[in-house]
Amino acid sequence: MIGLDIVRDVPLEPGSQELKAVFSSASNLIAVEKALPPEIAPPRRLLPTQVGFSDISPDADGRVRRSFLGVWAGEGEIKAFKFSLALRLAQVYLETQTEHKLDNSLRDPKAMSFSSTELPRVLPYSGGYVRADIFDVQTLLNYRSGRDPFRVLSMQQITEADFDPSWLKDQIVIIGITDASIRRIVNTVAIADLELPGQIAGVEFQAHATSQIISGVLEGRPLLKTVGEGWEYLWIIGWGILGIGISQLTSSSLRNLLIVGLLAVGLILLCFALLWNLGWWIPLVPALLVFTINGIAYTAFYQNSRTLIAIANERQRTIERTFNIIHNGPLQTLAAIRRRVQDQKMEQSHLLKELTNLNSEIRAVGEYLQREAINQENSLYLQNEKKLNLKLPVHELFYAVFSSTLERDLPAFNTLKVKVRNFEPLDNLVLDVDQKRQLCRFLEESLCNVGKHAYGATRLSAIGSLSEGRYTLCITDNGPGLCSDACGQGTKAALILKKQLRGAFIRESLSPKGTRCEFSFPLTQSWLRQLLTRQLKLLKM
Amino acid sequence: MIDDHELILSGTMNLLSKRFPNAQIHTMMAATLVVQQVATLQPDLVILDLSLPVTEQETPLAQAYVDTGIQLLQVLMREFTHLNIVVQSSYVKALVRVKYDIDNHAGGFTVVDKGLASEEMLTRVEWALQGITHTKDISGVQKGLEVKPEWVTVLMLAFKEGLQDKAIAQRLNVAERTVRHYWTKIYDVLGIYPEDDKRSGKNIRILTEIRAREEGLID
Repeated sequence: MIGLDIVRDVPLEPGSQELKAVFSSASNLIAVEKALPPEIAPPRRLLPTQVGFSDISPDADGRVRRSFLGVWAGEGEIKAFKFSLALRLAQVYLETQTEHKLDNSLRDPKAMSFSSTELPRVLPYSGGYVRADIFDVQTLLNYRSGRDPFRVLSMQQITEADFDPSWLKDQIVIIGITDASIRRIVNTVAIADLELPGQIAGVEFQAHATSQIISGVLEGRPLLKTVGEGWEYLWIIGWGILGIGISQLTSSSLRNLLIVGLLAVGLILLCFALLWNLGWWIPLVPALLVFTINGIAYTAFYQNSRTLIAIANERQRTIERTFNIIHNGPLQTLAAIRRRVQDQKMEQSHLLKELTNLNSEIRAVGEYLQREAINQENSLYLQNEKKLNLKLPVHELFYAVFSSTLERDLPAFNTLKVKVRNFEPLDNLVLDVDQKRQLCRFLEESLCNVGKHAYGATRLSAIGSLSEGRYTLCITDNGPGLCSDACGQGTKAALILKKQLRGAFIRESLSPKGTRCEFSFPLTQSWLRQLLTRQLKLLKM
Repeated sequence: MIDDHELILSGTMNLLSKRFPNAQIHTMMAATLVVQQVATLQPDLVILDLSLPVTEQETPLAQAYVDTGIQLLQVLMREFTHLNIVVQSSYVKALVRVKYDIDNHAGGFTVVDKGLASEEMLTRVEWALQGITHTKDISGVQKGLEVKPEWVTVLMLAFKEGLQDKAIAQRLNVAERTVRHYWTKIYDVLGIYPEDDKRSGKNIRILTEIRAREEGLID
């Protein structure tokens, strides 16, 4: 089988008569023409089946990645379908030496196939191509690797018979020009280690194209194929959605970015593996871009919105805390003053003293808020400018709050004779600063309620006890009991606490007399949080 | 004796060596190493200032914190449950938050404000040596007595049901020694200081019952 890859339609003496004789007699010869404008006609004496075209179709960057299988050639209405040299050579070889016949593919009627092996078409939007100038029947060319994949005999070796005849018997021989000064150049970067980097001769290109078809049919060597346009869109959109999904996966930006990075590497490896093992060319760059951009941008976006939410929450907490302070401090004092003024039990001088107290209490709130604004406050402010460090164990805080609250000048405290109190210790890691603050406020407030409402009470008890995985804070008195079920701020603070600690709140009258106010919460926490807190604690140490 | 003020240290030393001529007195000026020293010396009494520097290098006074002293006190009470302790401080109210540990401490425990007269101070030291508790000064002026639930129960069992310590211990499911420890705390709450009152010929338990009824601890 001989392919003559030299395009010439003008006789060149000497030897043209001998060549014509060969053309007339040799049936195993296929010559070339140039089928696309400007056309160059094939040798006239050959049958149409002995002619293939040798046109090539470079990409926009000048490199050749595709080879023609057939084109519609000619002007206007009179068009003829022509086969390329590579297809002709492969067809003759396969049809004479094996059972494989050239036909249209069953899957894609416009593509060609030998038996069940389809030669996949490449289309203007296939794989990485976008609006490419690809027409008629072309296929992606998977160049053979290595510097010398084909045996090359020089003209001199032929004339001097310096070769083994078995090298040529039953083989496809392509004759062409490799002389660097006049050869046709095909640009490619697919083959490493070339004599002239990025360049091969036209004849070598034809050898690659022919070999690809034959190896694909006989050895099952992967032919480069692409998935349909729709599937490609689905693939890219899918990665985009995955990117958005990952941005919401965790609240840590760093972790999200790490996952994006890992998956991007995974995507590259996946595309590479598909191409390498199965010949599937799947759009990598658009998928990679849309995935990483979505992953990073949405992570930043969600991070930002999380920060905003956190700020809003913090502000809300500060407002609640402020109201708490005002409620447990000045408002209590004010309530006591009002009651005594109404009962007309108060002397002018005493009233003035109380009002002065009230004044300084309100000022203290202002100062506290200013300090709070400056630094993250870890302190609890009690009456009389007393300040507690909230990092202390919560039972120690309870003792301090208990003592300080009972020093306050509230009417019902005056009749108290016995104050039973005991606050059992609690693992300092269970509660955070804010929860401790709320619990202390709850205790303060419950004691204040006793001081304001439990007229005539002689006994007060405040017990913090630990049993069966729950901590219970119980404040009871033997006063007149609840007179109204007014749901003031007191209960509201307890409700916040209830939500924060998943606890239970009870406030009820006792028989024969007295009031009980109880808050209990479970100590069980997820092992993860415990572990994290412990780690943090260690780090801080 | 642990105090970071040279002056107070020597002044108190003087008073103590006059009152207790046979006593061996060791002094320290910072919180570190106190626990080891107490473990090796096994003293009868520790006199502790609350405002302390962590190490001696950190003197002068600017580096002394009440928190350091309180932490040291907590460790001492936890490690040596029967150690007699006198806390000498100008800010005894800071002890409020460790009341839980003080309530549970089985040794003598008295509090001395630094402004207190020396004679009074020496009395408190003696009390502490006798295992007596005196913590009145911590809470300041407040109406009513501050007690632990167990103490009320002990009073009930003793004066309403007439039980003896052994029976009370069985009822409460604790050691008899613990009940005696409860009594010292009850005496403190009711302002009964056994040595003094015994000297004036009083029956402590009966005195306790009278005071408890007066104060409304038992009806």
